[in-house]
Amino acid sequence: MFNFLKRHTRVALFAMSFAFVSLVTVGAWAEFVVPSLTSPVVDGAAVLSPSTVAELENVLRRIRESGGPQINVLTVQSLEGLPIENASIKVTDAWKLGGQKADDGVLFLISMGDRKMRIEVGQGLEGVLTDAESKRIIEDRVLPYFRAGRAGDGIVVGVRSILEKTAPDALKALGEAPTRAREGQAKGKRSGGGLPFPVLIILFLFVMFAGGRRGRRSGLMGALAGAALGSSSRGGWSGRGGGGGWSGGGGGFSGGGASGSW
Amino acid sequence: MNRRMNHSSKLQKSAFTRMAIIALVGFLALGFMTGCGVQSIPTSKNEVDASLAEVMNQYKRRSDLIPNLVETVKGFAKQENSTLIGVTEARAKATSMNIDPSKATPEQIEKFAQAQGQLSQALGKLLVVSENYPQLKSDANFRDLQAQLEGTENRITIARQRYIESIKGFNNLVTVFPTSLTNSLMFHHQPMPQFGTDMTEQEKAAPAVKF
Repeated sequence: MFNFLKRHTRVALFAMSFAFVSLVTVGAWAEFVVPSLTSPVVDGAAVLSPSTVAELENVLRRIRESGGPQINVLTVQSLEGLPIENASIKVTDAWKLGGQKADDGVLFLISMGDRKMRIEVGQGLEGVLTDAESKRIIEDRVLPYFRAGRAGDGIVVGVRSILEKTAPDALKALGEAPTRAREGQAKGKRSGGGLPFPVLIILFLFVMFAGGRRGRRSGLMGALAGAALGSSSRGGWSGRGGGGGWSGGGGGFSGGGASGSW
Repeated sequence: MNRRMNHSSKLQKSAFTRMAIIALVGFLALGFMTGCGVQSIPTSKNEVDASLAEVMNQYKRRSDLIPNLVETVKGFAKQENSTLIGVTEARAKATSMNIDPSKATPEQIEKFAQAQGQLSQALGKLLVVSENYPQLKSDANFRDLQAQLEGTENRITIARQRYIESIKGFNNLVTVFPTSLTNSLMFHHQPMPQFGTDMTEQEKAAPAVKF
């Protein structure tokens, strides 16, 4: 009896380990999965130093907040065999960077393992950041850094070049190199949220009350609620949709941009 | 008195039943409108038309790039005249086909796709040939044109993928219950043939536009 049970457990163990191994193998063959959009710099391959990430994010957030384009950096270790053009459109289809009407998003995708990169340009920016411009940025300005093993610097230069084309005024307003002091200022400002705190509370209660009676926030109320919640929650990265949230604003991409490899 | 009371409660009951029936019919109608394809089939058809228009739009974008490209190559590689003429002729043939996306027949679309496929081949040949001219390759104008062409080829690929997806969605609505029922009652749409499988074979044979 004991022996019988034991054999059973052995079989079960074997089956379980087989299942586990096959799961792991399937995992290894997994297709390219789009990471979730958590911030302007999604450094999946850990290419950038924390301070560079903070600096880039600060700049990109502020440009977006001032009505500029939504530019996102994504580094990955591998594309799982997918051509980079397909991977980047997959990402932009999921992230929907940029506003729904303006379509002003840009994705700067770098795959370290494949040694490939792509600038994917939203439909609304194809005029200012043409395929030829994107190609020039990649070939002439970014790739030399990557070839020299300075990927982090290459990404910073790439982002700056993209901004020079898509948000020249905002970039000028920020100055050439954003410093840490500025970053502190920005943080203080953001937690203040533009409106005095009591006003925010009254606004919030008002909106909740009105919303409760109507059952659903919409129109002006929704916009107000979105504005109030959005400015009081720190570090939200979202498209310019009225309702806050953590996703892109619904911008469309049709495959403009350029790719390169090193 | 007892009778009267009975009568009035009967009356009330029938009024209630009538209201319930009206409400039920209303709900059914609403469900029919939103779930059974009355809205989704025409919407999907519009999407198919729009994505075909986008495919054609991107092909047109490519056609618009070609004269400039041919001129630039001519400046550096006059002896490649036959290749250049091949491209120009394929372009002329492809642009001569004007179809209305909302009324296009499957045959028209296939012919259009074939003509564009031939243009892709001719262009591929031209780009292979241009590899032999270092001066041409380093010319800034040519590089820009090549980047634009690459971007446009990518846009074409994506527009075609989206077109194929939209056809799939449309065919699902037309052939799968319950929306298929609505279709056979109201719209009488036929499922659409999938787009451009011949062409992808042709394009497989064509050299890629990469350098």
